[in-house]
Amino acid sequence: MKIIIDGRSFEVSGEETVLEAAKAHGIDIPALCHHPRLAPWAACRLCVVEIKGRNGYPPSCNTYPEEGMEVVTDSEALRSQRRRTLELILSEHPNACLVCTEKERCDEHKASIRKSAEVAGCVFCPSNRRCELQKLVDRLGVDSVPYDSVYRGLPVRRSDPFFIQDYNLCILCGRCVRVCHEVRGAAAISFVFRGSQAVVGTQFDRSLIAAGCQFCGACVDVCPTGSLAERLARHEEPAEAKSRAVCPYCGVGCGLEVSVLQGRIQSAAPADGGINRGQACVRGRFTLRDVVHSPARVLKPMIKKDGKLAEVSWDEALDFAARGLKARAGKTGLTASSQLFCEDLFVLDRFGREALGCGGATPSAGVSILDELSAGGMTGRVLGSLKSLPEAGTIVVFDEPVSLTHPVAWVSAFEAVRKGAKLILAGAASGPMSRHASLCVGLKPGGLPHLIAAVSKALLEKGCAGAASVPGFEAFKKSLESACVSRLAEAAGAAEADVRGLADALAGGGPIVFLFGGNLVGLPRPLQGVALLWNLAVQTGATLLPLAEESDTAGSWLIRSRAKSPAPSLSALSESLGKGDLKALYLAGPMTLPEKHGLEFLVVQDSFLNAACAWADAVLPAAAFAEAEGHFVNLEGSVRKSERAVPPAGESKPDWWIASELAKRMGAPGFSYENAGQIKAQLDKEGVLALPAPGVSGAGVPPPVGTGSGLPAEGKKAFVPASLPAPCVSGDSPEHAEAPVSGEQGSDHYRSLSLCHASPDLALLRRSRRTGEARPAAKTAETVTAGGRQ
Amino acid sequence: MNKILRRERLVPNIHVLEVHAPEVAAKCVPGQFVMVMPDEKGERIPLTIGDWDREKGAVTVAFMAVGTTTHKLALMSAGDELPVFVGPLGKPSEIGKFGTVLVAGGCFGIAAIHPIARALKEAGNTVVTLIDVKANYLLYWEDKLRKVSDSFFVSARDHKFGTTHYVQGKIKELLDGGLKADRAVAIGCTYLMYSACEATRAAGIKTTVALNPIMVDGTGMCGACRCAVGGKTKFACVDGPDFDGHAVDWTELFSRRKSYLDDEMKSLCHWERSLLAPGVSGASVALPLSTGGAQLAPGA
Ligand SMILES: Cc1cc2nc3c(=O)[nH]c(=O)nc-3n(C[C@H](O)[C@H](O)[C@H](O)COP(=O)(O)OP(=O)(O)OC[C@H]3O[C@@H](n4cnc5c(N)ncnc54)[C@H](O)[C@@H]3O)c2cc1C
Ligand code: SF4
Ligand code: SF4
Ligand code: SF4
Ligand code: FES
Ligand code: FES
Repeated sequence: MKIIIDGRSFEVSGEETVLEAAKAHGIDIPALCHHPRLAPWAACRLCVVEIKGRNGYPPSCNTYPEEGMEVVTDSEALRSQRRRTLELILSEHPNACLVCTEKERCDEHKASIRKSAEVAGCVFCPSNRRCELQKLVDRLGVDSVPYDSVYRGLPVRRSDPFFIQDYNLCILCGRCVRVCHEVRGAAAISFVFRGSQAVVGTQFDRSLIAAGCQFCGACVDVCPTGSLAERLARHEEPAEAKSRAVCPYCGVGCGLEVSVLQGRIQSAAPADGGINRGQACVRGRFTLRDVVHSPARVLKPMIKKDGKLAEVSWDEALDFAARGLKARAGKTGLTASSQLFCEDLFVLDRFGREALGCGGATPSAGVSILDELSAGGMTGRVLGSLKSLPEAGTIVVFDEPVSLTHPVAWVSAFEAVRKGAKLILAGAASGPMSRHASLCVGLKPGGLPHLIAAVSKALLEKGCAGAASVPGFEAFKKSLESACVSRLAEAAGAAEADVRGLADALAGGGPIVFLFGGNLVGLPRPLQGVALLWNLAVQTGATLLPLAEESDTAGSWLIRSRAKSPAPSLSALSESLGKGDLKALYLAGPMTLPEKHGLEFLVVQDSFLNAACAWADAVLPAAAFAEAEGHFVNLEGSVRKSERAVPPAGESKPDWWIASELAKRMGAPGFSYENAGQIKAQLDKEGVLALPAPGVSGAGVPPPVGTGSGLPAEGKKAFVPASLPAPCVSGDSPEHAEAPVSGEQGSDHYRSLSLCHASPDLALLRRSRRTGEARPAAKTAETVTAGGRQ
Repeated sequence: MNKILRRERLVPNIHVLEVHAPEVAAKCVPGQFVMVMPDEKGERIPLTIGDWDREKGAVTVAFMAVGTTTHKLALMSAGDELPVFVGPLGKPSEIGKFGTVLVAGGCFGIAAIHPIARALKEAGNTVVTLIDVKANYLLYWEDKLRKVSDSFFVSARDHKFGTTHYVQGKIKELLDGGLKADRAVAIGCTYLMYSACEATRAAGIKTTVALNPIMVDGTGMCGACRCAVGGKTKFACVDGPDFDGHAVDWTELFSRRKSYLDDEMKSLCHWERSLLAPGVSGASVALPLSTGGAQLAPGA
C-alpha cells in the first residue's frame, strides 16, 4: 500500500508500524521504548506523529499504516510535545549534568567521580557519553527541566554477578522487562508496584540469581540509560575501537562486537543481525575480557632446563621442540582443540601428517556429534539450520539443557514457542525451557536411546506409516519388531503415557525440529543413540539440529574429513599411549594427563598455563582467539570470520604460526605461510570448508551469513541400521550406571582455561545454580547505598 | 583503634562519619585533616575535619564514596573500629578579621567548609556562604551552615532553586549585584575550587583553597602530594592544604589527580567482586588450572 510520510509517498507492506516504515526510508522518529525486536509498547510517547484525519498525536510505534495515510513526523507542535514529554521523564532522572552549562569542561576533569556509589548526574554515570537518553536530550534540544528534581533513593543493587542495577536511573521504558520475557523467555524481571511507585524488579525482591536470571545481558544491551551496567566496564571511558569477533565458546558462533580500550578488551556485546540477531549468552557477553586477559596466560616460550621450565626466545624454543619431535617422528601423538580457528586446525593437521607422521590432529574434545553422524552415514537433507527453528511447529529437545549449553539456539526455539509451537523436553532441561514446555518426559541417566526407540515403536503401532516408502523402512520396522513400548519406557525412566503423548505430538505434524547435543553423544554407545534418533526423524519427517559442542567442531570435522585417512580418534590415541607406542605428545588442546605414561617428550601449545605444563618439555604460548584472526564453522555450517581485536599477549603467537615454524624446522615443505589469509585462501582453493558435512547441510538452509561456505545438501533421506538398546526389565542396566550425568560446566571452558576460574562472577552463578543457594551470605557493596542510617 | 560512633548516608554518595578520637578532638582547628584507614590492608586517605566535640572526644568528617577506600568506609557502622585515624594534620586555615568573607563549598566541601565559616564568624567577619549542589536532594548541613552565616546562597542545576548556575556563575551574579567581598575561601572538588578562583580573580579577591592532591603519609615524607603554587613546589600535607588559589597550577593538579585512575578502577572492581563471591576462585591463581578437555585415559 501507499502512504505519505512528510510529504513523500512510500510503498509499504502494512506489516511494519509507521515508525519502522519511516525508519526504513531514512526518517528517524525519536523513540525510547521502541526496540526492533520487541512488540510495540507505546509507553514513552516520544514517537508521536500527526496523522491527517485523526485527533491528537498517536504514537507511531504502535500505529500501522493504512492505504493513503498521511503522516507528519516533524512539526513545531510535535517538537514541543516531545520536549514536554522528555522534560517529564527527566524530572525523575538525575538531570543536572544534562542541563548544566559546565557540562563539557567538567566532564574532562571529573573522570574519577565515575566510580561513585550513586549516580547524581551524567558525570557519575556508567553511560556517560554512550547514553541514548543523553543523545535524545541533545537531539530534542531540552536545556532545562521545569520541575523540581526528584531522586528516588532506591538502593543500587550490586550483589548480583556481572552487572549492577541502579533503578534510580530507570525511565521505565520497559525494554529490559520485555526482552527478558519476549526474547529470552526467562521472565526474571518485571515491573513491580504501579503508578508513580513503578519500578523494575524481581518477584519478592529477590536477587537476580534467585529469580532465575540467565545473565544473558540482553537487558543490559537494550537499556537506553545507565540503569544496567556491566561491572567490569562501567567506570571506564567509552571504547576507543570496536571489532567483530565470533564467540569461541559454543557451536552457535554468535557474532560479537568487541570493544577495545587502551589495547585491551573492555567488553563484548552481541552484534546486531547475523546468526544471533543481537543476542548472546552469559559466557560470550561477560567472560571474554577475563579470559583473554587472564593472569594464567603463558606469555613467553619455555623449555625444560635442568628439570625446570625456563623462559627462552622463540628461536631457542622452536629449535628445541623441533629437535625433540623430529627424533620421535612416527611415534608422536597430536591433539587440537576444536575452539581453534579453521586456519589453525588445518595447519596443525598438516603438521601432524607431514611433519610428525601421526596421521593428523586428534580433537581433544573426543568424539563430536558430527563424527557420530558421519560414522553412521547420516548426512543430508534431514539436517536443519538455526533459521529453520523459529518456524517450527513442534520442537523436541532430547536430553540437552539447550538454554545453558547453546542459549542462543534456545532463543530461536523460544521464538517458535511464542508463535505457538509445542515444546517437548525429554530429560535434561534448564531454567526457562522447563517453564515453556508443554510436555516434560522424565528420563533416567542413559535412558535416552530407550525413549527414542519407544517413541518410534509407539508411532509404528499408531500406524503412521508415512515413511513406508523411504529406503530402509522394512529393516527399520523389523528392528523394532520385538520392542515393547511399555518396557522401553520403563527402561528409559519415562511414563508410558508421556511416551505416547510425545508420539501423538509427532504424528500431529507442523514442521518438527529435533534438538540434541553432547548428552546423547556422551553416552557409552553414542552411535546407537544417534542412529535411533536419525530414524525417528526420518520416520516423522522431522529436521535434526545437532548442537555441535564447540565453536569449530564443524570446522575440525571438515578439515579432518578432507583426508582419506582421518586422524586417530581420542580413544585410539589413548590406546597407543597406554600400550607405550607413543614417545612424544604434542598438545594443542586441553587434556588431563594424570601420568607421564612413558612419554619422552611433551610439547604444550596453549594460551594458558595448565596442569600438563607441569611436566612439559616445551611450552609454546598461543594467542587467544581475539588476538588473532580466523574462521569458525558453526553448527549449521556457516563459515564466519572473527577479527583480531587486540595484539597477542606477551610474546604469544597464532597457533598456525607456531605449527608452521616447527614444520619448517623439521624440514616439511609447504609451510611458509605469512598470514592467516593465505591459509584461508588455500582452504578455499581446496574446497575444504565446502564439503557436504553431516549436520551442516539440509533443505532450506539459508545462505550462510559469513564468507564462503555452501555445504550443499548431498546424501539421501533413508533409515540407517540401528540396534535396539539392551533390554532392561527393571532397575538400572549396566549401561545406566556408566552413563555420564549431564554436566553443567561442560561448555564452560576456553582451551584449557575453565571459565569459572577466569570469572569469579560466573563461578558464583554456576555454584549457586548447583547448590540452589540464592546468594552467599555476605555483606555486599549494596549496603553502601542502602539509604539512611544504620 | 578508633571506634566509629556514627556513620550515616547524608545524601546520595555523601556519608558522615563520627569517630571517637579524643587526641584529635582535643587539638584540631579549622582547615585540618585526618588520615584514615578502614582496614589494615587498605590505603590511607586524607579527610577534612568537618566538626568536633572536645568533651565527647568526637571528630566528624564527611566523605564522598568515590573509590575503594571510601566505599569500604561507607560499609562501616557505629561500633566498628578504624585501625588508623590520625591527626590533626596540615596547617590551620588562616582565620582573621577580614571584613566580608565569601565561603564556597560543594560536595564533601559543604562539611569541610563548616568549621572555617564558624571560626570566621566568631572572629567577627560577615560570612556569605555559597553552596553548590547539582540538585536539591544533595544539599546537607544547611541548618548548621545557616547558623554561622550572615547570608546563605545555593547554586544548583535544579528548578527548585530557580537557577542553573554553577558556582562561578553565582559568584559573578553576587559580585555584580554589589557584594563586596574582602576574602574568599572555597573547598570542594578540584573543579569547583578552580571555578571559584576564576570568578574571584578579576575582582582581585584573595581566595584560599584547600588542595586535595593524592596523599600517602600526610606528614611530608613521601612527596606524593607535591603541587606547584606560585611557581614553587609545595607539599600540600605540610605546607597546606590551604593555598592561594590564584597562584595554583591547576593544570598540573588536574592531571596528577587522575594519574592512577586505571588502577583505582581495577581495585574497586576487584574489591566488589571479592565481596560478591568470597571463597569463589579468584582470577589470580597460576598452576595448576582445571582443564576443560577430556581425560586422556590410556587403554580406554
Ligand atoms: C587534604 C585532603 C582532604 C580531603 N578531604 C576530603 C573530605 O573531607 N571528604 C572527602 O570525601 N574527600 C576528601 N579528600 C579526597 C579523598 O581523600 C579522596 O576522595 C579519597 O582518597 C579517595 O579514595 P578512594 O580509595 O575511595 O578512591 P580512589 O579510587 O582511590 O580515588 C578516587 C580519586 O580520589 C583521589 N585520591 C585517591 N587517593 C587519594 C589520596 N590518598 N589522597 C588524596 N586523594 C586521593 C584521586 O583523585 C582519585 O582519582 C581530601 C583530600 C585531601 C588531599
Ligand atoms: S543515564 Fe544517561 S542521561 Fe542519565 S545520568 Fe546517565 S548518562 Fe546522564
Ligand atoms: S540478564 Fe537476561 S535473563 Fe537476566 S534479567 Fe536480563 S534479560 Fe532477563
Ligand atoms: S532499566 Fe533500562 S531498560 Fe529497563 S525500564 Fe529502566 S531504563 Fe528501560
Ligand atoms: S517509542 Fe513509541 S511510545 Fe515509546
Ligand atoms: S602526603 Fe606524603 S608528602 Fe604529603
